[in-house]
Amino acid sequence: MKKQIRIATGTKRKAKSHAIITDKVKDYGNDPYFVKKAKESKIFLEKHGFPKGLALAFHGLKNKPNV
Amino acid sequence: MVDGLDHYPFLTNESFLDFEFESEGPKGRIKKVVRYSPQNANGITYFNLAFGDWNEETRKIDDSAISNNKDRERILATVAATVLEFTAHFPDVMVYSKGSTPGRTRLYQIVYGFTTGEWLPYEKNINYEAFLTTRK
Repeated sequence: MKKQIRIATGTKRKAKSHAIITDKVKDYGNDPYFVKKAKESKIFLEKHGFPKGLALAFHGLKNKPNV
Repeated sequence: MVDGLDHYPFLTNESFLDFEFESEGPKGRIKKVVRYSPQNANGITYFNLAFGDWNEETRKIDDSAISNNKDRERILATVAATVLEFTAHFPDVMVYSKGSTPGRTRLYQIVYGFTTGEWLPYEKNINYEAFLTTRK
């Protein structure tokens, strides 16, 4: 059976949510702690790369997803 | 319930990138925030999972907080539950996290751990520097 390769689209899908959705939860994207952690992850992954299996399945998305 | 462990109820917003919940224990109620930050490395997009304690005074995540509220397992179960919630809405993405434990690994189809300079399929009882996971 041919293995299905999944491509990372980053596209948001509608799904049943188990969380309470509220606009009281703010966007933490600019919080310095999370910015720092995201930058550290990028440095780490650019230095060490991705696991081969995952890199093959997920390669192809050059831009950040539209979230 | 996630993998047999009870988790805290959690809140999110319409983006499904930000999650909040409250830890309860001897130190009282402590607000925790989980954030999935979109990033790109070597042409591959992934989301960085990070979480921390909210500091109401500074209005920022407290980088140095060690809350020790005697509920570590429940906190990890809650973070794992947010991974499921997040990947339900973004099913075809990788989630990167740094830390010694990936939480509830049985939730994920693929877990790679980084140790001794390389990515390897996850095994129990090994300390890892970082993890990459995808949804089951």
